[in-house]
Amino acid sequence: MSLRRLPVYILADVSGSMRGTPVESVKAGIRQLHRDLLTDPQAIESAYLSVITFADVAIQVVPLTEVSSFIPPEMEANGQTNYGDALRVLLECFEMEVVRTTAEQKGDWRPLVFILSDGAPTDTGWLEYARQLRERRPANIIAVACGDHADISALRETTETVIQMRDMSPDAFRAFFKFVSASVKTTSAKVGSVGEGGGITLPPPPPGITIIP
Amino acid sequence: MSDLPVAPAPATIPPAVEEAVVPGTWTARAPDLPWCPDALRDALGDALITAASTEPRLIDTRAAGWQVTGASVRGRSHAHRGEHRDDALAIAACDDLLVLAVADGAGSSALSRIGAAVTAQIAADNTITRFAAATDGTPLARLGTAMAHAVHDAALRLHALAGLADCAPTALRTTVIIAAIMGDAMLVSQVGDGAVLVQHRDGTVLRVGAMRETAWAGEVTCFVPDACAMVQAAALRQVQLADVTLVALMTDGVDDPFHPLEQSGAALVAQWRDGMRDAIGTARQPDTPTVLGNGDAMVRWLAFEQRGEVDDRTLLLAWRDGGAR
Repeated sequence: MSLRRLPVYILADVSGSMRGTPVESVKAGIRQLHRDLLTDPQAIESAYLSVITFADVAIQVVPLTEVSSFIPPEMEANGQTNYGDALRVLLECFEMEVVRTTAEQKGDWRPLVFILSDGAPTDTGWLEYARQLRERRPANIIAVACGDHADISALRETTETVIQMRDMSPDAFRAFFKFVSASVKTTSAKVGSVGEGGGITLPPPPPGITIIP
Repeated sequence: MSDLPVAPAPATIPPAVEEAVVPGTWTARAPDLPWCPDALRDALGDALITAASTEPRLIDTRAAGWQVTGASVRGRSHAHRGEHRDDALAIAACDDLLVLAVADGAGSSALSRIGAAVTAQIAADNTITRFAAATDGTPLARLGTAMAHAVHDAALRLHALAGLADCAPTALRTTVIIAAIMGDAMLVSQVGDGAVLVQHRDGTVLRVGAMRETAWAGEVTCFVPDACAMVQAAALRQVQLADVTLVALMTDGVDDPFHPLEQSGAALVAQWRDGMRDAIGTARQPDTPTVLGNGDAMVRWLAFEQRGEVDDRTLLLAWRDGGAR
Protein backbone atom coordinates (compact mmCIF):
# COMPACT_ATOMS: atom_id res chain seq x y z
CA MET A 1 0.00 0.00 0.00
CA SER A 2 2.91 2.31 -0.77
CA LEU A 3 2.55 5.59 -2.62
CA ARG A 4 2.84 5.25 -6.35
CA ARG A 5 4.83 8.07 -7.86
CA LEU A 6 5.43 9.40 -11.34
CA PRO A 7 9.21 9.98 -11.31
CA VAL A 8 10.26 12.80 -13.65
CA TYR A 9 13.95 13.28 -14.41
CA ILE A 10 15.35 16.32 -16.20
CA LEU A 11 18.84 15.83 -17.59
CA ALA A 12 20.27 19.23 -18.45
CA ASP A 13 23.43 19.76 -20.46
CA VAL A 14 25.42 22.47 -18.65
CA SER A 15 28.57 22.27 -20.73
CA GLY A 16 30.36 25.45 -21.81
CA SER A 17 28.25 25.87 -24.93
CA MET A 18 25.18 26.35 -22.75
CA ARG A 19 26.75 29.32 -20.95
CA GLY A 20 24.73 32.51 -20.80
CA THR A 21 21.18 32.68 -22.06
CA PRO A 22 20.66 28.93 -22.63
CA VAL A 23 21.49 27.79 -19.10
CA GLU A 24 19.63 30.71 -17.60
CA SER A 25 16.64 29.77 -19.74
CA VAL A 26 16.80 26.21 -18.51
CA LYS A 27 16.85 27.43 -14.91
CA ALA A 28 13.90 29.71 -15.56
CA GLY A 29 12.11 26.88 -17.33
CA ILE A 30 12.51 24.52 -14.38
CA ARG A 31 11.19 27.23 -12.05
CA GLN A 32 8.22 27.68 -14.35
CA LEU A 33 7.66 23.92 -14.57
CA HIS A 34 7.64 23.68 -10.80
CA ARG A 35 5.16 26.52 -10.39
CA ASP A 36 2.92 25.07 -13.05
CA LEU A 37 2.85 21.60 -11.50
CA LEU A 38 2.02 23.12 -8.13
CA THR A 39 -1.32 24.22 -9.55
CA ASP A 40 -2.30 20.66 -10.50
CA PRO A 41 -3.55 18.49 -7.62
CA GLN A 42 -2.77 15.28 -9.45
CA ALA A 43 0.81 16.37 -10.09
CA ILE A 44 1.12 17.42 -6.45
CA GLU A 45 0.08 13.93 -5.37
CA SER A 46 1.92 11.89 -7.95
CA ALA A 47 4.79 13.68 -9.68
CA TYR A 48 8.29 13.63 -8.23
CA LEU A 49 11.01 15.72 -9.83
CA SER A 50 14.75 15.24 -10.10
CA VAL A 51 17.38 17.29 -11.93
CA ILE A 52 20.65 15.85 -13.21
CA THR A 53 23.16 18.19 -14.78
CA PHE A 54 26.04 17.07 -16.95
CA ALA A 55 29.21 18.74 -18.17
CA ASP A 56 32.66 17.28 -17.31
CA VAL A 57 30.78 14.98 -14.95
CA ALA A 58 27.13 14.36 -14.21
CA ILE A 59 25.60 15.29 -10.86
CA GLN A 60 22.14 14.68 -9.54
CA VAL A 61 21.62 18.19 -8.19
CA VAL A 62 18.09 17.48 -6.96
CA PRO A 63 17.16 13.96 -5.85
CA LEU A 64 13.71 12.67 -6.65
CA THR A 65 11.49 15.06 -4.69
CA GLU A 66 7.77 15.59 -4.47
CA VAL A 67 6.53 18.68 -6.24
CA SER A 68 5.53 20.52 -3.08
CA SER A 69 9.05 20.18 -1.63
CA PHE A 70 11.02 20.72 -4.82
CA ILE A 71 13.50 23.61 -4.87
CA PRO A 72 14.64 24.61 -8.37
CA PRO A 73 18.43 24.31 -8.53
CA GLU A 74 21.12 26.79 -9.42
CA MET A 75 23.25 25.82 -12.42
CA GLU A 76 26.42 27.09 -14.05
CA ALA A 77 27.58 26.10 -17.48
CA ASN A 78 31.16 25.18 -18.29
CA GLY A 79 33.25 22.22 -19.36
CA GLN A 80 32.74 19.32 -21.73
CA THR A 81 29.70 17.20 -22.54
CA ASN A 82 30.11 13.95 -20.64
CA TYR A 83 26.89 12.42 -21.94
CA GLY A 84 27.86 8.92 -20.87
CA ASP A 85 28.19 10.00 -17.27
CA ALA A 86 24.73 11.57 -17.47
CA LEU A 87 23.22 8.31 -18.65
CA ARG A 88 25.18 6.35 -16.04
CA VAL A 89 23.88 8.58 -13.26
CA LEU A 90 20.36 8.27 -14.65
CA LEU A 91 20.58 4.48 -14.59
CA GLU A 92 21.91 4.61 -11.02
CA CYS A 93 19.04 6.86 -9.99
CA PHE A 94 16.57 4.39 -11.45
CA GLU A 95 18.12 1.63 -9.38
CA MET A 96 18.20 3.64 -6.15
CA GLU A 97 15.10 5.80 -6.35
CA VAL A 98 12.45 4.14 -8.48
CA VAL A 99 10.26 1.37 -7.08
CA ARG A 100 9.14 -1.50 -9.26
CA THR A 101 6.06 -3.59 -8.65
CA THR A 102 6.51 -6.74 -6.60
CA ALA A 103 4.14 -9.14 -4.95
CA GLU A 104 4.51 -7.03 -1.82
CA GLN A 105 4.20 -3.51 -3.14
CA LYS A 106 2.84 -1.60 -6.06
CA GLY A 107 5.60 0.06 -8.01
CA ASP A 108 5.92 3.58 -9.35
CA TRP A 109 4.63 4.61 -12.72
CA ARG A 110 7.23 4.23 -15.47
CA PRO A 111 9.52 7.27 -15.14
CA LEU A 112 9.42 10.18 -17.54
CA VAL A 113 12.82 11.58 -18.62
CA PHE A 114 13.66 14.73 -20.54
CA ILE A 115 17.23 15.05 -21.84
CA LEU A 116 18.31 18.48 -23.08
CA SER A 117 21.58 18.80 -24.96
CA ASP A 118 23.00 21.33 -27.39
CA GLY A 119 26.16 19.51 -28.39
CA ALA A 120 27.81 16.18 -29.02
CA PRO A 121 29.18 13.77 -26.44
CA THR A 122 32.85 14.40 -25.65
CA ASP A 123 33.29 11.11 -23.82
CA THR A 124 33.69 7.69 -25.41
CA GLY A 125 31.61 5.48 -23.15
CA TRP A 126 28.16 6.93 -23.72
CA LEU A 127 27.06 4.40 -26.32
CA GLU A 128 27.08 1.50 -23.85
CA TYR A 129 24.78 3.36 -21.44
CA ALA A 130 22.55 4.49 -24.28
CA ARG A 131 22.26 0.88 -25.40
CA GLN A 132 21.25 -0.17 -21.88
CA LEU A 133 18.53 2.46 -21.82
CA ARG A 134 17.14 1.46 -25.20
CA GLU A 135 17.18 -2.24 -24.42
CA ARG A 136 15.82 -2.10 -20.88
CA ARG A 137 13.29 0.67 -21.50
CA PRO A 138 13.25 1.69 -17.86
CA ALA A 139 11.55 4.97 -18.69
CA ASN A 140 9.74 7.00 -21.30
CA ILE A 141 12.60 9.18 -22.51
CA ILE A 142 12.22 12.33 -24.56
CA ALA A 143 15.49 13.73 -25.87
CA VAL A 144 15.65 17.35 -26.92
CA ALA A 145 18.20 18.51 -29.47
CA CYS A 146 18.75 22.18 -28.63
CA GLY A 147 20.08 24.50 -31.32
CA ASP A 148 21.80 23.51 -34.54
CA HIS A 149 24.78 21.67 -33.12
CA ALA A 150 23.15 18.98 -31.02
CA ASP A 151 24.19 15.45 -31.92
CA ILE A 152 20.84 14.01 -32.96
CA SER A 153 22.31 10.61 -33.71
CA ALA A 154 23.59 10.28 -30.14
CA LEU A 155 20.16 11.17 -28.80
CA ARG A 156 18.63 8.69 -31.23
CA GLU A 157 20.83 5.96 -29.80
CA THR A 158 19.26 6.71 -26.41
CA THR A 159 15.58 6.91 -27.27
CA GLU A 160 13.17 6.74 -30.17
CA THR A 161 11.58 10.01 -29.14
CA VAL A 162 13.78 12.90 -30.19
CA ILE A 163 12.50 16.42 -30.64
CA GLN A 164 14.36 19.40 -31.99
CA MET A 165 14.31 22.94 -30.64
CA ARG A 166 16.47 25.00 -33.00
CA ASP A 167 15.67 28.29 -31.33
CA MET A 168 17.43 28.60 -27.97
CA SER A 169 15.86 31.86 -26.93
CA PRO A 170 14.23 32.27 -23.52
CA ASP A 171 10.82 32.18 -25.19
CA ALA A 172 11.62 28.88 -26.85
CA PHE A 173 12.75 27.33 -23.57
CA ARG A 174 9.66 28.72 -21.88
CA ALA A 175 7.48 27.03 -24.48
CA PHE A 176 9.44 23.82 -24.12
CA PHE A 177 8.99 23.67 -20.36
CA LYS A 178 5.28 24.27 -20.81
CA PHE A 179 5.35 21.20 -23.02
CA VAL A 180 7.18 19.32 -20.24
CA SER A 181 4.55 20.42 -17.75
CA ALA A 182 1.72 19.34 -20.03
CA SER A 183 3.47 16.01 -20.61
CA VAL A 184 3.77 15.39 -16.87
CA LYS A 185 0.12 16.31 -16.31
CA THR A 186 -1.05 14.16 -19.20
CA THR A 187 1.07 11.23 -18.12
CA SER A 188 -0.01 11.42 -14.49
CA ALA A 189 -3.64 11.50 -15.63
CA LYS A 190 -3.39 8.66 -18.11
CA VAL A 191 -0.83 6.37 -16.61
CA GLY A 192 -3.51 4.08 -15.32
CA SER A 193 -3.90 2.49 -18.65
CA VAL A 194 -0.89 2.64 -20.89
CA GLY A 195 -0.05 -0.46 -22.84
CA GLU A 196 2.76 -2.86 -22.17
CA GLY A 197 6.05 -1.21 -22.99
CA GLY A 198 4.86 1.99 -21.45
CA GLY A 199 4.22 3.97 -24.58
CA ILE A 200 2.62 7.26 -23.69
CA THR A 201 0.80 9.86 -25.69
CA LEU A 202 2.50 13.22 -25.40
CA PRO A 203 0.71 16.50 -25.93
CA PRO A 204 1.46 18.23 -29.22
CA PRO A 205 4.76 20.10 -29.07
CA PRO A 206 4.61 23.89 -29.23
CA PRO A 207 5.51 25.84 -32.37
CA GLY A 208 9.24 25.81 -33.00
CA ILE A 209 9.68 22.34 -31.56
CA THR A 210 9.51 19.48 -34.00
CA ILE A 211 9.44 15.75 -33.50
CA ILE A 212 12.24 14.16 -35.48
CA PRO A 213 10.79 11.14 -37.30
CA MET B 1 26.85 42.91 -47.70
CA SER B 2 28.09 43.64 -44.24
CA ASP B 3 27.40 41.60 -41.20
CA LEU B 4 24.65 42.97 -39.04
CA PRO B 5 25.67 43.78 -35.49
CA VAL B 6 24.62 41.10 -33.05
CA ALA B 7 23.47 42.07 -29.62
CA PRO B 8 25.37 40.20 -26.94
CA ALA B 9 23.34 37.59 -25.12
CA PRO B 10 22.55 38.55 -21.56
CA ALA B 11 24.59 36.59 -19.04
CA THR B 12 21.58 36.00 -16.89
CA ILE B 13 17.86 36.27 -17.20
CA PRO B 14 16.56 38.23 -14.28
CA PRO B 15 13.95 36.12 -12.57
CA ALA B 16 10.49 37.51 -12.98
CA VAL B 17 8.84 38.73 -9.85
CA GLU B 18 7.11 35.54 -8.87
CA GLU B 19 3.98 35.55 -6.83
CA ALA B 20 3.35 32.76 -4.42
CA VAL B 21 1.63 29.81 -6.06
CA VAL B 22 -1.67 28.69 -4.65
CA PRO B 23 -1.46 24.90 -4.67
CA GLY B 24 -4.06 23.28 -6.86
CA THR B 25 -6.93 21.52 -5.14
CA TRP B 26 -9.32 18.87 -6.35
CA THR B 27 -12.58 19.96 -7.91
CA ALA B 28 -15.52 18.07 -9.37
CA ARG B 29 -16.99 19.16 -12.68
CA ALA B 30 -19.78 17.75 -14.74
CA PRO B 31 -18.44 16.10 -17.89
CA ASP B 32 -17.72 18.56 -20.67
CA LEU B 33 -18.83 16.20 -23.45
CA PRO B 34 -21.94 14.02 -23.78
CA TRP B 35 -21.34 10.42 -22.74
CA CYS B 36 -22.26 9.10 -26.17
CA PRO B 37 -21.08 10.63 -29.44
CA ASP B 38 -23.89 11.23 -31.89
CA ALA B 39 -22.41 8.70 -34.31
CA LEU B 40 -22.98 5.88 -31.81
CA ARG B 41 -26.29 6.90 -30.33
CA ASP B 42 -28.49 4.69 -32.51
CA ALA B 43 -26.14 1.74 -32.29
CA LEU B 44 -25.97 1.77 -28.50
CA GLY B 45 -29.58 2.55 -27.69
CA ASP B 46 -31.07 4.65 -24.96
CA ALA B 47 -31.19 1.95 -22.30
CA LEU B 48 -27.45 1.30 -22.28
CA ILE B 49 -26.58 4.97 -22.63
CA THR B 50 -28.81 5.97 -19.72
CA ALA B 51 -27.63 3.18 -17.46
CA ALA B 52 -23.96 3.55 -18.25
CA SER B 53 -23.85 7.32 -17.98
CA THR B 54 -25.72 7.56 -14.68
CA GLU B 55 -23.41 8.64 -11.90
CA PRO B 56 -22.87 6.68 -9.75
CA ARG B 57 -23.92 3.43 -11.39
CA LEU B 58 -25.60 1.16 -8.85
CA ILE B 59 -26.78 -2.43 -8.86
CA ASP B 60 -28.74 -3.94 -5.99
CA THR B 61 -30.61 -7.13 -6.72
CA ARG B 62 -31.03 -10.81 -6.01
CA ALA B 63 -30.46 -13.48 -8.64
CA ALA B 64 -29.71 -17.19 -8.88
CA GLY B 65 -29.71 -17.54 -5.12
CA TRP B 66 -27.19 -14.76 -4.57
CA GLN B 67 -27.63 -11.18 -3.47
CA VAL B 68 -25.70 -8.67 -5.50
CA THR B 69 -24.63 -5.13 -4.70
CA GLY B 70 -22.39 -3.12 -6.97
CA ALA B 71 -21.33 0.45 -7.53
CA SER B 72 -19.14 2.25 -10.02
CA VAL B 73 -17.98 5.78 -9.24
CA ARG B 74 -16.00 8.44 -11.05
CA GLY B 75 -12.49 8.94 -9.73
CA ARG B 76 -11.02 12.23 -8.55
CA SER B 77 -8.99 12.66 -11.73
CA HIS B 78 -11.95 12.37 -14.07
CA ALA B 79 -14.10 14.56 -11.83
CA HIS B 80 -11.42 17.25 -11.69
CA ARG B 81 -10.95 17.26 -15.44
CA GLY B 82 -14.65 17.16 -16.28
CA GLU B 83 -14.45 13.70 -17.82
CA HIS B 84 -16.73 10.69 -17.64
CA ARG B 85 -16.15 7.59 -15.59
CA ASP B 86 -14.38 4.92 -17.66
CA ASP B 87 -15.38 2.00 -15.42
CA ALA B 88 -18.49 -0.10 -15.93
CA LEU B 89 -20.30 -3.04 -14.37
CA ALA B 90 -23.10 -5.37 -15.40
CA ILE B 91 -24.87 -8.50 -14.27
CA ALA B 92 -27.11 -11.01 -15.98
CA ALA B 93 -28.89 -14.07 -14.62
CA CYS B 94 -31.00 -16.93 -15.82
CA ASP B 95 -32.24 -19.77 -13.61
CA ASP B 96 -29.25 -20.84 -11.51
CA LEU B 97 -26.64 -19.02 -13.61
CA LEU B 98 -25.38 -15.63 -12.44
CA VAL B 99 -22.85 -13.64 -14.45
CA LEU B 100 -20.99 -10.65 -13.00
CA ALA B 101 -18.79 -8.32 -15.03
CA VAL B 102 -16.65 -5.28 -14.33
CA ALA B 103 -14.65 -3.33 -16.90
CA ASP B 104 -12.17 -0.48 -16.83
CA GLY B 105 -11.72 1.58 -19.97
CA ALA B 106 -8.17 2.53 -20.85
CA GLY B 107 -7.59 6.13 -19.81
CA SER B 108 -5.50 6.84 -22.86
CA SER B 109 -8.31 5.72 -25.21
CA ALA B 110 -10.79 8.43 -26.13
CA LEU B 111 -13.96 6.29 -26.15
CA SER B 112 -12.95 3.74 -23.54
CA ARG B 113 -16.00 4.55 -21.40
CA ILE B 114 -18.09 3.17 -24.23
CA GLY B 115 -15.80 0.20 -24.69
CA ALA B 116 -16.09 -0.63 -20.99
CA ALA B 117 -19.89 -0.25 -20.82
CA VAL B 118 -20.49 -2.27 -23.98
CA THR B 119 -18.01 -4.97 -23.06
CA ALA B 120 -19.34 -5.45 -19.54
CA GLN B 121 -22.92 -5.68 -20.79
CA ILE B 122 -22.16 -8.03 -23.69
CA ALA B 123 -19.92 -10.17 -21.50
CA ALA B 124 -22.75 -10.66 -19.04
CA ASP B 125 -25.66 -10.99 -21.47
CA ASN B 126 -23.95 -13.13 -24.09
CA THR B 127 -22.52 -15.55 -21.55
CA ILE B 128 -26.12 -16.31 -20.63
CA THR B 129 -27.46 -16.57 -24.18
CA ARG B 130 -24.51 -18.52 -25.55
CA PHE B 131 -24.62 -20.94 -22.63
CA ALA B 132 -28.33 -21.47 -23.17
CA ALA B 133 -27.76 -22.19 -26.85
CA ALA B 134 -24.82 -24.56 -26.38
CA THR B 135 -25.41 -28.30 -26.35
CA ASP B 136 -22.03 -30.01 -26.48
CA GLY B 137 -19.89 -30.86 -23.47
CA THR B 138 -20.35 -30.67 -19.76
CA PRO B 139 -22.21 -27.72 -18.30
CA LEU B 140 -18.94 -26.17 -17.07
CA ALA B 141 -17.26 -26.66 -20.43
CA ARG B 142 -20.24 -25.03 -22.15
CA LEU B 143 -20.13 -22.19 -19.67
CA GLY B 144 -16.41 -21.59 -20.19
CA THR B 145 -16.84 -21.60 -23.93
CA ALA B 146 -19.76 -19.20 -23.63
CA MET B 147 -17.65 -16.79 -21.56
CA ALA B 148 -14.77 -16.80 -24.03
CA HIS B 149 -17.15 -16.34 -26.93
CA ALA B 150 -18.88 -13.50 -25.12
CA VAL B 151 -15.58 -11.64 -24.94
CA HIS B 152 -15.12 -12.31 -28.63
CA ASP B 153 -18.62 -10.92 -29.25
CA ALA B 154 -17.68 -7.81 -27.30
CA ALA B 155 -14.49 -7.37 -29.29
CA LEU B 156 -16.39 -7.65 -32.57
CA ARG B 157 -18.92 -5.12 -31.31
CA LEU B 158 -16.16 -2.67 -30.41
CA HIS B 159 -14.64 -3.03 -33.87
CA ALA B 160 -18.05 -2.29 -35.39
CA LEU B 161 -18.56 0.73 -33.15
CA ALA B 162 -15.10 2.00 -34.06
CA GLY B 163 -16.16 1.86 -37.68
CA LEU B 164 -19.27 3.90 -36.95
CA ALA B 165 -17.31 6.42 -34.93
CA ASP B 166 -14.58 6.58 -37.56
CA CYS B 167 -11.86 5.80 -35.07
CA ALA B 168 -9.41 2.98 -34.43
CA PRO B 169 -10.70 0.05 -32.35
CA THR B 170 -8.00 0.88 -29.81
CA ALA B 171 -9.99 4.03 -28.97
CA LEU B 172 -12.47 1.75 -27.17
CA ARG B 173 -9.95 -0.35 -25.23
CA THR B 174 -11.05 -1.81 -21.93
CA THR B 175 -10.23 -4.48 -19.41
CA VAL B 176 -12.92 -6.92 -18.36
CA ILE B 177 -13.42 -9.48 -15.60
CA ILE B 178 -16.29 -11.95 -15.88
CA ALA B 179 -17.34 -14.29 -13.08
CA ALA B 180 -19.98 -16.87 -13.93
CA ILE B 181 -21.54 -18.63 -10.96
CA MET B 182 -23.44 -21.84 -11.56
CA GLY B 183 -24.36 -24.08 -8.66
CA ASP B 184 -21.24 -24.67 -6.61
CA ALA B 185 -18.80 -23.66 -9.29
CA MET B 186 -17.52 -20.34 -10.52
CA LEU B 187 -15.50 -19.66 -13.65
CA VAL B 188 -13.51 -16.46 -13.96
CA SER B 189 -12.31 -14.94 -17.19
CA GLN B 190 -10.07 -11.88 -17.09
CA VAL B 191 -8.53 -9.56 -19.66
CA GLY B 192 -6.25 -6.95 -18.15
CA ASP B 193 -6.04 -5.92 -14.51
CA GLY B 194 -8.46 -5.78 -11.60
CA ALA B 195 -9.09 -8.57 -9.11
CA VAL B 196 -11.48 -11.21 -7.81
CA LEU B 197 -11.68 -12.19 -4.15
CA VAL B 198 -13.65 -14.98 -2.50
CA GLN B 199 -14.46 -15.39 1.16
CA HIS B 200 -14.90 -18.89 2.55
CA ARG B 201 -17.25 -19.90 5.32
CA ASP B 202 -14.33 -20.18 7.74
CA GLY B 203 -13.51 -16.52 7.12
CA THR B 204 -10.47 -16.97 4.91
CA VAL B 205 -10.27 -14.63 1.95
CA LEU B 206 -8.38 -15.62 -1.17
CA ARG B 207 -7.57 -13.88 -4.40
CA VAL B 208 -8.59 -15.82 -7.50
CA GLY B 209 -5.50 -16.09 -9.66
CA ALA B 210 -2.30 -14.17 -9.29
CA MET B 211 -1.89 -10.49 -9.98
CA ARG B 212 -0.80 -9.89 -13.57
CA GLU B 213 2.51 -8.33 -12.70
CA THR B 214 4.28 -5.70 -14.70
CA ALA B 215 7.31 -3.78 -13.52
CA TRP B 216 5.50 -0.46 -13.54
CA ALA B 217 2.17 0.56 -12.10
CA GLY B 218 -0.78 0.76 -14.40
CA GLU B 219 0.73 -0.90 -17.42
CA VAL B 220 -1.91 -3.29 -18.62
CA THR B 221 -0.66 -5.98 -20.97
CA CYS B 222 -3.83 -6.60 -22.94
CA PHE B 223 -7.22 -5.02 -23.58
CA VAL B 224 -10.44 -5.89 -25.34
CA PRO B 225 -10.65 -5.61 -28.39
CA ASP B 226 -6.97 -6.46 -29.00
CA ALA B 227 -6.29 -9.88 -30.50
CA CYS B 228 -4.53 -11.00 -27.32
CA ALA B 229 -7.81 -10.55 -25.41
CA MET B 230 -9.21 -13.78 -26.85
CA VAL B 231 -6.26 -15.73 -25.46
CA GLN B 232 -6.49 -14.14 -22.04
CA ALA B 233 -10.26 -14.54 -21.90
CA ALA B 234 -10.00 -18.23 -22.63
CA ALA B 235 -7.60 -18.82 -19.73
CA LEU B 236 -10.40 -19.60 -17.28
CA ARG B 237 -10.01 -20.14 -13.59
CA GLN B 238 -12.39 -22.43 -11.75
CA VAL B 239 -13.35 -21.96 -8.10
CA GLN B 240 -15.40 -24.35 -6.00
CA LEU B 241 -18.09 -22.34 -4.25
CA ALA B 242 -19.48 -24.94 -1.87
CA ASP B 243 -18.13 -23.08 1.15
CA VAL B 244 -17.77 -19.66 -0.44
CA THR B 245 -20.05 -17.01 0.98
CA LEU B 246 -18.93 -13.88 -0.85
CA VAL B 247 -17.45 -13.10 -4.24
CA ALA B 248 -15.97 -9.70 -5.04
CA LEU B 249 -15.02 -8.31 -8.43
CA MET B 250 -13.16 -5.02 -8.56
CA THR B 251 -11.35 -2.79 -11.01
CA ASP B 252 -7.83 -1.60 -10.28
CA GLY B 253 -9.18 1.59 -8.72
CA VAL B 254 -10.13 -0.58 -5.73
CA ASP B 255 -7.42 -3.22 -6.06
CA ASP B 256 -4.38 -0.97 -6.37
CA PRO B 257 -4.82 1.18 -3.25
CA PHE B 258 -4.99 -1.97 -1.13
CA HIS B 259 -2.25 -3.93 -2.86
CA PRO B 260 -1.37 -6.66 -2.09
CA LEU B 261 -4.87 -8.09 -1.71
CA GLU B 262 -3.36 -11.27 -0.34
CA GLN B 263 -2.70 -9.23 2.81
CA SER B 264 -5.54 -6.74 2.84
CA GLY B 265 -8.34 -8.91 1.44
CA ALA B 266 -9.67 -10.16 4.78
CA ALA B 267 -9.81 -6.63 6.19
CA LEU B 268 -11.60 -5.38 3.10
CA VAL B 269 -14.25 -8.06 3.27
CA ALA B 270 -14.72 -7.36 6.97
CA GLN B 271 -15.38 -3.71 6.17
CA TRP B 272 -17.86 -4.60 3.46
CA ARG B 273 -19.71 -6.98 5.74
CA ASP B 274 -19.59 -5.18 9.06
CA GLY B 275 -18.96 -1.55 8.20
CA MET B 276 -15.88 0.57 8.58
CA ARG B 277 -14.09 0.18 11.90
CA ASP B 278 -10.36 0.52 11.35
CA ALA B 279 -8.84 2.09 8.27
CA ILE B 280 -6.55 -0.12 6.22
CA GLY B 281 -2.98 1.10 5.83
CA THR B 282 -2.72 4.79 5.04
CA ALA B 283 -6.15 5.09 3.44
CA ARG B 284 -8.54 7.69 4.85
CA GLN B 285 -11.81 5.85 4.92
CA PRO B 286 -15.20 7.37 5.75
CA ASP B 287 -17.42 5.72 8.31
CA THR B 288 -19.82 3.41 6.52
CA PRO B 289 -22.28 0.73 7.56
CA THR B 290 -22.27 -2.62 5.82
CA VAL B 291 -22.32 -2.24 2.08
CA LEU B 292 -24.13 -5.54 1.53
CA GLY B 293 -27.55 -4.66 0.17
CA ASN B 294 -26.80 -0.96 0.50
CA GLY B 295 -25.58 0.64 -2.69
CA ASP B 296 -25.42 4.09 -1.17
CA ALA B 297 -23.13 2.79 1.57
CA MET B 298 -20.96 1.18 -1.08
CA VAL B 299 -20.65 4.49 -2.89
CA ARG B 300 -19.61 6.07 0.39
CA TRP B 301 -17.10 3.29 1.05
CA LEU B 302 -15.65 3.82 -2.44
CA ALA B 303 -14.95 7.45 -1.54
CA PHE B 304 -11.90 6.50 0.53
CA GLU B 305 -8.88 8.71 -0.02
CA GLN B 306 -5.36 7.59 -0.60
CA ARG B 307 -2.65 9.83 -1.96
CA GLY B 308 -2.08 9.33 -5.66
CA GLU B 309 -5.05 6.98 -6.03
CA VAL B 310 -7.43 8.91 -8.24
CA ASP B 311 -8.82 6.29 -10.58
CA ASP B 312 -12.47 5.33 -11.11
CA ARG B 313 -13.59 2.64 -8.67
CA THR B 314 -15.93 -0.25 -9.27
CA LEU B 315 -16.88 -2.96 -6.81
CA LEU B 316 -19.37 -5.77 -7.43
CA LEU B 317 -20.23 -8.13 -4.58
CA ALA B 318 -22.28 -11.31 -4.64
CA TRP B 319 -22.99 -13.01 -1.34
CA ARG B 320 -25.32 -15.48 0.22
CA ASP B 321 -26.77 -15.75 3.65
CA GLY B 322 -24.97 -17.63 6.39
CA GLY B 323 -21.62 -16.12 5.45
CA ALA B 324 -18.62 -15.72 7.69
CA ARG B 325 -18.51 -12.63 9.86
